Amino acid sequence: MIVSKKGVIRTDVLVIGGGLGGCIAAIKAKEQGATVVLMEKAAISRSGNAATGLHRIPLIAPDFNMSAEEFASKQFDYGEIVNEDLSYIFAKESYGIIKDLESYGIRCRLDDESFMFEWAPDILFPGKIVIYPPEGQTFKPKLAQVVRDRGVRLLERTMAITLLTREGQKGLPVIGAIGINTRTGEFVVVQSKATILTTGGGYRLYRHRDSLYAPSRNITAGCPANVGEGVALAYRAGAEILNMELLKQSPVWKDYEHWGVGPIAYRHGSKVIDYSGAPLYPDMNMKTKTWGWLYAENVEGRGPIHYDLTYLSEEAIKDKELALKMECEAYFVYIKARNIDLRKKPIEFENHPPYLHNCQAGVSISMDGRTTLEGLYAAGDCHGGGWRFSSMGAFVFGALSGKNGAEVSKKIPPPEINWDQVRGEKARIERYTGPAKGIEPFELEDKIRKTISDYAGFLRNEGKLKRGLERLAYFKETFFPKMVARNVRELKRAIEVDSILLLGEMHLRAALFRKETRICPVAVHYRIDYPETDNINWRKHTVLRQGDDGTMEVCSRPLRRLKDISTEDNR
Amino acid sequence: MSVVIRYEECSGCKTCYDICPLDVFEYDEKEERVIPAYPEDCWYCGSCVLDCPKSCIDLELPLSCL
Repeated sequence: MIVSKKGVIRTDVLVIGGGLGGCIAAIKAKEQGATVVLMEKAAISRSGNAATGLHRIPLIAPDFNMSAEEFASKQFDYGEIVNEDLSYIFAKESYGIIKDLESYGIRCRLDDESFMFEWAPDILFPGKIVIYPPEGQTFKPKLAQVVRDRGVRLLERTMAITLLTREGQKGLPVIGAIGINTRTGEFVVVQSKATILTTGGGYRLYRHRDSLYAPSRNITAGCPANVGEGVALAYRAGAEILNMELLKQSPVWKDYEHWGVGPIAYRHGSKVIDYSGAPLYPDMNMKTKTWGWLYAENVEGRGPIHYDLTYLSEEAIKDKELALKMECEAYFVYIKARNIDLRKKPIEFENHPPYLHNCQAGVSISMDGRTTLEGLYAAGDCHGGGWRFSSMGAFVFGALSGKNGAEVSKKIPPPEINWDQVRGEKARIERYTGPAKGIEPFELEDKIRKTISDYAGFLRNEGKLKRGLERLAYFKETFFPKMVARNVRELKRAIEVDSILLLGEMHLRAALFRKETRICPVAVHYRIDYPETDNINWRKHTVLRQGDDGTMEVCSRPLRRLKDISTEDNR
Repeated sequence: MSVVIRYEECSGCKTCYDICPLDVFEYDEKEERVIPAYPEDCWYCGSCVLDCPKSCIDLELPLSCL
């Protein structure tokens, strides 16, 4: 593990994470004439949440549904913790993104140039339409090929461990990153004028399954490689983080927790029925307004709950199957193995354990993708202050970050790396490696996730959250220093555990801070001791940042309205 | 069990090893073949199944999913 000054990779723009947002950021930065390096923990052709497919993309445009202003104000009025300007820019840029993708040879329409689309359920995407790309399965490999063709330098199987800052000081401009190759353990130092985080949401904060059998421990809605490390990297560098208390809830197919309910539930509709076959809601979208509706149905004796498609036409079922195939073909392995027949029998589903997703919890960004740190941008699932931006959000903010980062990079001289920071970080990571004796990274991850599941989750109160924080602090002091990675593979996990522990603290601290209950269609913060929604005092962001002494500071901040934006400083 | 490679049909191209988002595979230099060495990290996404040029990979779901 050697880092030499000669081996430093110098670039205008560094993108960390090669999912949808990272790929488009790299392409856009390259289009501006910048040199671009993309660091990806796996391999970009099949990484991130869209690894195996993408069955729908939200779209807002005056020709199809409404203006960007109208969308932003409608979404704001829904009462979520969202910056209106982000919704506005999301809508404003969305049709341009579709045209960009098409110009790259990625099909978003049918042969006759029309979109295969439908109106999204009001409750989930007010006013949005979603389009179904006809080649969802090959969407990611094709996008990855564009990245390669444009001459982006790829660092695959490389995870970022630290953001480098000017003088090595937190709060100063970000000037690159240190990565580690997850197969060889070699360090790499990248010096950049603009750095873009696109590392995805946090899917390993909670325990996912009760199964004792190891090969099912990683089955989760989003890609389990996403632990939220972008949030951890940004926080450690001194950036502000928003709304880490807000959790995502999703229904998923019983015992198979990929995102497969979307294609089944929404396109052409579906009925939700109880165990006896009685329909529960005439309008499924109305009911999902209530948090825990699925949980409640079980408590009230109506479980197990099913989606019923048996009344639909053959054409509708075929469309649903196509959407499912475009999302994740592995569903058909599940369908076959479990003898499911969509045409004949309702499908059972359950609640997915909580996770961080949908651009609500994450790094604070402005309309152009800037974080609160100079030189640092964030896009996709790792930024906060938005709402249910989904794939289109990754594209929009990825593209803006790439374009703006590249433009800014033209105006500034190459930054100077502080080698004390590099040596310090290298030593920090090397401390995880050592003799075989010690706590295995996965063992510690399991303990941390169990603690977060036990003391936070969907039902929280002050006592539990405080106890959870005490436990995490104890783990940090007692267990964490004893964690030992016996090989490179375990080292990758050890670094992830470091992020999970930090995100866990953020999650609990933010949840303790927000003294209200906020139940949104997709994001949940349920304080049993403060059961009412308090729009007067709490319709605002929870902001986390590192204080001068290294402790986590929490404060609140008003939501940004479109009318208040001067465009200059809107972070 | 997560992924099963039918070796009699495998060309040894290493595509699965190159693309797996969770790095489930290892390449065995001695045997000159890819092995699904870390089934416990599998996400059951099926990327390897989709991209295998010989279509010789099967996804086998664990009992807990069935």
